[in-house]
Amino acid sequence: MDAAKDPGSLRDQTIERLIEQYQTPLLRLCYIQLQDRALAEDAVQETFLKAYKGFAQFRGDSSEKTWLAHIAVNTCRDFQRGAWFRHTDRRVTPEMLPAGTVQPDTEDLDLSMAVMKLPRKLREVILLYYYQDMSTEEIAEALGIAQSSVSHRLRRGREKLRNLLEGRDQDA
Amino acid sequence: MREDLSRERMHKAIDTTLSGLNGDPWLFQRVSARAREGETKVKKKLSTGLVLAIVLVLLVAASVAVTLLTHQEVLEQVAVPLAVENDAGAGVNESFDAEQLAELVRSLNENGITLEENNRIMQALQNGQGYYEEEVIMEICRQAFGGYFYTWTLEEQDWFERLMVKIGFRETYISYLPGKDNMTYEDAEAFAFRKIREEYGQELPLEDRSIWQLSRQFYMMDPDDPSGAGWNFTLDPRDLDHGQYSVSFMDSDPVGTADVWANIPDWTQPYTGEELLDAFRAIYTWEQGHWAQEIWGKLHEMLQKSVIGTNSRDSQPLRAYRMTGYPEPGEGDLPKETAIQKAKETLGNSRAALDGAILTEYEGERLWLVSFRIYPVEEEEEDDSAGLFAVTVNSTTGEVVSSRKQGADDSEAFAYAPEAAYEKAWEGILRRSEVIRLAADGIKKEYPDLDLLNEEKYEQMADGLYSWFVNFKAKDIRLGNASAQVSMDGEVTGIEVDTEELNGDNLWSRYWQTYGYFGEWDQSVWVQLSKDMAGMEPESLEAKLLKATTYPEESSVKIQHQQAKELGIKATGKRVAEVNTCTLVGADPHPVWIMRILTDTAADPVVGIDAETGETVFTEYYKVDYTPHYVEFSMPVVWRSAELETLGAPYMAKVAITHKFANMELDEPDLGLDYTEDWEMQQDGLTVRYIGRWKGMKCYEAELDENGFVIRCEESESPSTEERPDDLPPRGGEWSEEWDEEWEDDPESLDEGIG
Repeated sequence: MDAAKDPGSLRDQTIERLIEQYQTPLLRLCYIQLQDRALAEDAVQETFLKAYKGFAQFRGDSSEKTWLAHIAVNTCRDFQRGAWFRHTDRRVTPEMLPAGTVQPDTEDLDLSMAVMKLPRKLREVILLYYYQDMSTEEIAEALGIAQSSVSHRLRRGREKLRNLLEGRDQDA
Repeated sequence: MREDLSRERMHKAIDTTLSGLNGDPWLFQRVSARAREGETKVKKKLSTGLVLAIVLVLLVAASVAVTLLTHQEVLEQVAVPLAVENDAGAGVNESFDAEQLAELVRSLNENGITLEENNRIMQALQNGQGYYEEEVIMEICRQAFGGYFYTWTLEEQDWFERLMVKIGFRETYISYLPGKDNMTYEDAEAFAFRKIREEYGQELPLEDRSIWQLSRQFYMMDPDDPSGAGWNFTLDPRDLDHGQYSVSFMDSDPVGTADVWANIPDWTQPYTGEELLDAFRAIYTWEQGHWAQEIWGKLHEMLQKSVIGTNSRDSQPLRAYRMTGYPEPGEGDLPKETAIQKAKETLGNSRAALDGAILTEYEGERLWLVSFRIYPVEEEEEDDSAGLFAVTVNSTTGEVVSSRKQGADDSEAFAYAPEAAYEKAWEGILRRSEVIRLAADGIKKEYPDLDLLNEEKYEQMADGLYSWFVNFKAKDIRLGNASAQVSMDGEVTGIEVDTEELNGDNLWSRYWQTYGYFGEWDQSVWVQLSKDMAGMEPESLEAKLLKATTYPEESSVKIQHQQAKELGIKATGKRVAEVNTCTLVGADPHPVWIMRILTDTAADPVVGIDAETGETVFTEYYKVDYTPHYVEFSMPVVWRSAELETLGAPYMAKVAITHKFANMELDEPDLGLDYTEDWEMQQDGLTVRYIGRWKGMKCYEAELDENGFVIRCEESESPSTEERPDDLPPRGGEWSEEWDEEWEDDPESLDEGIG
């Protein structure tokens, strides 16, 4: 086989790699943020489209993961601000979750549902810290907030999660 | 470590709970296709005669050159000056226009360098269009250096980066070369290979470039800090028998930070058709039309052993490829070139670029499938002649069997499987049009009056991965949107319909729904909105501002839209800037163009330009998630008065204090003034004070006028002598490393707290 591999542009190559590497965790991140599968898929597509179009602005001054998380979180925020989003009830129940290949145990399900119930600002930092494995410094950069605010929100998010899981706070 | 345990737990919880959510194998294709829409900016189209003259000149130019320049010299001596000349106006123009492109291609030709006839750059030129500067330069670099960007040497990558800065594509230069305090390239590569071998086998012949293509990257997290530099090495296989390996590590601590990753396929184990096609695309690219005949043959053969989903729409192409044979042409077959020629004549469009020509065999019939792409001439307008076309030529008789254009219902297999196999592969799978009809029928059961299939009233959109999400987007502001989800089996669920009557508060969102993002509205839409709002009684602040603002016709002012945009960019003093929204609003003494401009800073300027004099009337700053949209379409005096009345002086004072004293480079500048454990708010009419409760904190005082404008905004030291209690959460505006350490050791960490 001697078919030459058409290299495509730098953008194409990089974005293709980024999609391969990050799209599934970003999809799950967006789903928890938006609590709507179609919107989450749209948000991920939008995220990579923005990354594609904004490729010239990215040159390693943050990590790729931080850069994409920044775009994804802001894309979700844009979606949440939209009139159509506000118009509909977004509360997710376990039965509404996309059918998966693995059956989650009760603890996992409870924790995921609790994260989804957190207020948006707390949910963002909890997800980025515990699910995207980002440092408080990276989160501050991704969300465009002070590092101290990240820590503050993390602490409040953890308290809220604890209350939710212990049944003290039914609706964050 | 406790933190890792918590993260591990969160990963497990989310990844198992959401295991049904996985990546979209077509995502790159979708993103790439959307990104290409409207990418070519046509500044000036050349006449057909001039295009022909240029092409003819290009054909003979190579023979007249005496001293030949290299690719790099042509780029530096011709492309860069052209790109710089291109940016003479406000901002940076990212595309060569048609004349500049022709000049560059002519220079290349004069120096013995030719671009492939079928690539998009030459297509653009033949269509009399310009093309994206970076893409043109990249294409020439590819010819010079081979491979793609990350396969180039670090010196070549660095040279390209410098070129990008010169043409204004990037504001600042960031080195691609390791400095004296960094590892050498040779040491970094040797380390990366050693890590791969330690993990995946000492016998791996990683240096063999006939097996793997090597990509390398050196990057700096912070241009001023060499210790934050990192490396990435990726080995992409050139065939299906080898795996992909990747190593990333920080320059300062390679051993401690090395992250080794591999994707090693095992085709002796059961595999799905999707996995197989993904692997083919990773190796032979997504441009399937360019695949050699033997690659199609191999795909067909390996698909026989694969598992293919039954009713997923993404399984249709796989079924089609599995049914279709892709034999090597024999003596009895029409030669490939003849088939292409016949197909080209049948299509009869000089703009058609060859996509591929594949010999297929299905139910004993051998057919050539010749595909062409016709790119739109005017990307911003509808061009019905553009699209993907497939011409079928009988390989035995030489007869042209059919010529078809890909439609909205068609899959990607449309051009790569014969029509009979293609149609058979659809059996039991819902097509897009069927899904839309099912969704409309389902919604109609609950809302019988909705005429969702009427294309004059609604735009029908359907997409999704494992089930379809159908949206009916209303084209008339009096109608609301509707949506539903349709499973692959045709079950309709999740129906949502906006049935609200039109009123002052939903008028704005209906305009968004009908005309899209307001930044793209023509001024006539604003004029119409103004008229529609006249009879309404809105209650929300946003809608009240729309009602209180007038939107004049563009023809009523001296400075027009385009000129206003240029003046706005000039007012920012930035080179790389883009006008995101630009609206003409009524104001005294003249109407003002209000525009939000995207720059490389975290805060986007919102600039007002007098539509008669061209003077800058005001500059505000737009913060994501912080500044409301209405600053982009109402005058500051209007929205400030309304905010003062609706949201009150404390809110406006807080914003003023934050804008003056917080770090405005952040998306959400924050002094933490909402944290009542730290701040006491006092109000005296239009004067508001935020007093720090603890020793060492600040006091802020802001005074507003009756229109909400800031008269005075000051900072002083808090008079408090009381120490801040240790058990309070961290302070919003200040960061304490000691506190961070304390928090890391907090006994109430997440895993314990929720355990």
